[in-house]
Amino acid sequence: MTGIKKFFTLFILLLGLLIVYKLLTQGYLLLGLVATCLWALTTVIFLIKGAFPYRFMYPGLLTFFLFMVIPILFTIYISFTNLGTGHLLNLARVQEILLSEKHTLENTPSYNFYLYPQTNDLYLIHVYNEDEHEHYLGQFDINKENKSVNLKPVPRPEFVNPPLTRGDVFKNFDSLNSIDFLVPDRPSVKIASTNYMASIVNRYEVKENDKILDTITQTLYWPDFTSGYYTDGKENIAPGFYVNVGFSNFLKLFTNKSMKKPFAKVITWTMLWSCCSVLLTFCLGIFLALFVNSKYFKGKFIYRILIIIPYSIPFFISVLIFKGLYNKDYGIINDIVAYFFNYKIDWLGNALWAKISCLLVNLWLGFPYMFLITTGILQSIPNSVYEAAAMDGAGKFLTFRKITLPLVMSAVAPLLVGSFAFNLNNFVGIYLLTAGGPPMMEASTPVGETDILISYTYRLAFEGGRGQDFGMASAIALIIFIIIAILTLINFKLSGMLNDKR
Amino acid sequence: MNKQRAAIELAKHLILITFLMLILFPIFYIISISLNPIGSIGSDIVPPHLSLTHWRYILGLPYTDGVTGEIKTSSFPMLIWLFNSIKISVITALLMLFLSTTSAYALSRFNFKGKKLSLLTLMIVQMFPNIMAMVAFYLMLDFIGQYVPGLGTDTHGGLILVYLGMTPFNIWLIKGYFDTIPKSIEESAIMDGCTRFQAFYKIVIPLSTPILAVVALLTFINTFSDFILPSIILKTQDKLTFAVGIQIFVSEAFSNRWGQFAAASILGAFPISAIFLCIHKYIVGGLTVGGSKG
Repeated sequence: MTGIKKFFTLFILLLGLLIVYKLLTQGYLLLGLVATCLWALTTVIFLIKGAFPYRFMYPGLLTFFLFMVIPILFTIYISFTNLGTGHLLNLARVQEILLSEKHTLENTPSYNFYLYPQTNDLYLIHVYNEDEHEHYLGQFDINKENKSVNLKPVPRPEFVNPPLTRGDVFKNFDSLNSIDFLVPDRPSVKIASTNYMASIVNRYEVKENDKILDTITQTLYWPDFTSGYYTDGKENIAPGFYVNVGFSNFLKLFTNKSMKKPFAKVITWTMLWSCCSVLLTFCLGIFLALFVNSKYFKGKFIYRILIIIPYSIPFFISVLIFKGLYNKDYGIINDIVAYFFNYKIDWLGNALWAKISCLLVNLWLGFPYMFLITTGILQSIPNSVYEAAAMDGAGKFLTFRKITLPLVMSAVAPLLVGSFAFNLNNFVGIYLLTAGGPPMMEASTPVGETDILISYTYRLAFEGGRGQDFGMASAIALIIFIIIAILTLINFKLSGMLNDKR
Repeated sequence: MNKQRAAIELAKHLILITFLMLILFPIFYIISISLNPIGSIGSDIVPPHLSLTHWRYILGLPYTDGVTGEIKTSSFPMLIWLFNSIKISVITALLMLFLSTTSAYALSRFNFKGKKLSLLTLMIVQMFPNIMAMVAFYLMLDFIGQYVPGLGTDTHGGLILVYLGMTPFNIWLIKGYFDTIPKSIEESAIMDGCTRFQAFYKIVIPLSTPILAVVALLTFINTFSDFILPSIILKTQDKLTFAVGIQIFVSEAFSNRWGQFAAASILGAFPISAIFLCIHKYIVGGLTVGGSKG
């Protein structure tokens, strides 16, 4: 048993070492350092005897660290960059892509060729020009790293065996197209397609300080670390790389003409949406709880189950059902409205009605939760309190206002803040119903009248059409982080968690 | 006097029943639509006759097309989506159980350096839902996928990895339960020659089955109901989860696929709803610890 355990531990540690080594040698310095620290920590925890409490802690905290703490830190980092469509890679990768760009030299001879397999992986290459006046032969081993192959001028050769088909050439294309074929007294050529050879050279050359030279136009480009492009002062080369842009994403949100107004609208609606959702669900919830929990009321259990049914259905299903019910032309809600008022409401297409629709659906989804928690709290209030109030001659309403409500509120306050935080990120409740729509006219980004911060983040980062803006999306996510952090602090104050010495 | 009381009670029941009928109307309606042979978005509440066409459609059985009368089978892999969702949710729930139980045990039983800090960190971070870091998750999985193909974007492995970061809430829940189990039982077992780990999984684990079941089921429900992360991470049609698949299915042609959607939503909602109603008492107890359904 212990033998297997030791072997297993050793195996995991060695695997970790391999990952650390790979990361460090492939140039991921920061990531490699984090991995090294993690690895060292793991080793200490699993090899030192006194560290066994940490061994129990380890698995849960490891995944928590890797998939919660690191993503949060990473989001903060991205929010200060211009990462997104057109700027998806780092400088080194962009340079690599540019340097692999090839072009054919003008006014140089081109050739056709055939490959003939010989024995032992040797290949004979027959190169000839278009009018078949010049013929060359060369030989190479396809399994070896060939930098260059010399070609010899020959009279028109004859072959017994058939040459490789173009399909077979294509299979080996990656190893073939890096070879330089040296033609005597002519520029050297490379294999450009499955039967064509030409003088192909790299378009760009690296100069000092990461600058690159375009060999066609002889212009020098340098990396511009504010725009994230290679530039010569006038022209930029695509693709760009991502760079640190400081607070520019945040500044744009608050000062850019076409962004600040939609953003202000989104943030106002997010707050309004969360407040109204909490308030409405709480009012309906506590009202029902009082109703069902009165002394002589029979069948409490059945009613309770029926009331929480809306909450038990996965939200994405209920919201999609409501989307159908809200349909302007055929939806059943408009059928009823039209029956009474002879008018059809554009539930999801009109900005105000769309907001009301979202709130109504969220009321339906959320009131059972409030019903459940307030029921729990009401049942925990001892009967003697009410009896004492009755003794003193307090009426029903006075008892509710002076005794029930304060007691419920003090217990429920942190939960209300929690519910507020939940609704702040209630993506499904908005996106599946309206997809954020109807769209805002004046906005330059994909944003609609019912978008809340989290759905705006999603649309900036993942909704196709106008490209992905990861930097801006993360900046908005960071703003949500800050709001939630403030709420958490309020919550701790309310529940006295900070004073509690455990 | 007694008669008056009875009348008030009756009135209250009537009010509540009316309210419940209004609230539960969408559910009755969707059940009726799923059995309606036409089942378009403007169908009446009472179907002309009952038909299982939509149910046959979503179960991948041959069905008769309502318009042309042809016999066809659906090209949407609904059952595969459902299976994907169940698979991902079950694996996540089991892994989550392992990860959070051991951590909760350490936090409940041992005294070590950094315990207070760990508890505080877990308490704070559990307030932040992980979808805020969606961009980071996407880019991280993209990166991991270049080296470990099974854990990249568009894989179930990658999606499960992302869910495994959500241990804090469950650790709190389980730790709270462990705290109520007296230490003396384990201590005497250790006196008798049990190792720490044996005491953990032979004594503490069996004693805490109820809370472990609740944590597993809660994780199952939350993973099954999640929409945003699978919609970002998964791309291929056959790999989608039920939530993403059904959303794409119905959004493409809302009015034409209303009946099929109705049947599919009952199929997906019923098991989850049943589980939830069975464990709702425990969930509320857990929710009052701090946090909410997410």
